[in-house]
Amino acid sequence: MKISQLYKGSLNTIIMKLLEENGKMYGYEITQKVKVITQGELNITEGALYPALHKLEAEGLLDVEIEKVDNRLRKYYKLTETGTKETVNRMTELEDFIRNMQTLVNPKLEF
Amino acid sequence: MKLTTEQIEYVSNYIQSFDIKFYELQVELTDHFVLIMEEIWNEDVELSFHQVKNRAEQSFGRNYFEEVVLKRKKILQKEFNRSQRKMMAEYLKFPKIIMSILIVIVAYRVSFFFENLQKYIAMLFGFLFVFSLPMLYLWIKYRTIDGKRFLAIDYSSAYLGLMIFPQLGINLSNLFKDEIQKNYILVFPFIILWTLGILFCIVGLHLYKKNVNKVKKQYQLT
Repeated sequence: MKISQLYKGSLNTIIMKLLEENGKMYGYEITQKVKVITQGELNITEGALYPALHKLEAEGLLDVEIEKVDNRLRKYYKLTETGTKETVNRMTELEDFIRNMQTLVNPKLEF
Repeated sequence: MKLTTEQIEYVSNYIQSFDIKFYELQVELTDHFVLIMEEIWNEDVELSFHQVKNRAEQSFGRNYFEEVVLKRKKILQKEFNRSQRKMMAEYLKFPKIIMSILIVIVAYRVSFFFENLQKYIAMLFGFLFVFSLPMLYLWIKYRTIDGKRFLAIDYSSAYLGLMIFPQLGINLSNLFKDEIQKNYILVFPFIILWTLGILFCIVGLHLYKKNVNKVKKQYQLT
């Protein structure tokens, strides 16, 4: 399990994409979802997750909802309208980045 | 295995023992810590509550709680400054700039009624203290909501920042009192500074109220 420098730059986009697909999610759920999807290859630590969530919230891309679950309060995050639009932009940017990286790493594949 | 209400309360107190004074972080970190504990307990049901707690603590790391508070403070401060700059810039663009110019013109015209310009400048900046009183009132009123303290509210008060304007204005007018009396045009930069202080106050009040309402809505507080 790892979280390398390469993943760090994409953490916000990963969070936004997950929220776009799942509606609303809480911190622990996001870490578990990423672990499942990447089959344990990517581990988002709490130290990286919450500052990223708080930054996206402060920027107005995420909204917060509080619910009572199992005798305690739970803080859910969901995309705002601006956040939903921004997710599309960031995903396009990330896809372009991946495509360019593939071209650079495997130049023979491109003709 | 699910934690009981008493065990959750224990975890919540444990989180607070790391000087986590702010409710939004208490809620979030308690829930995350409890979920990690439940995961550990599900893997080994033979473990005691304290053994599970210790393992969860290892997973978090002891310095984690302080770090998350520090990082959140930095994020909120940066975002508040950005919003404040953005809103202030609105008052320097059309159509709001008309209001800003009007304030400057009125303050400049009123200065004609004063022989002692340094006294007038001191009066202007003294008025800024009075103008900031609603902000001080709100700052005291919403330091806690229903006994809960929020970092998002603490970091959206511009009250202390606003105090720079009267101090700067009065100190500079004392420093240049002879020059101001001899050269009337020197009153102008002070009026500009004072106007910026007024705008800072209006913007600060608006942002503070907005954040208080947002927090109240999110946490269903009255």
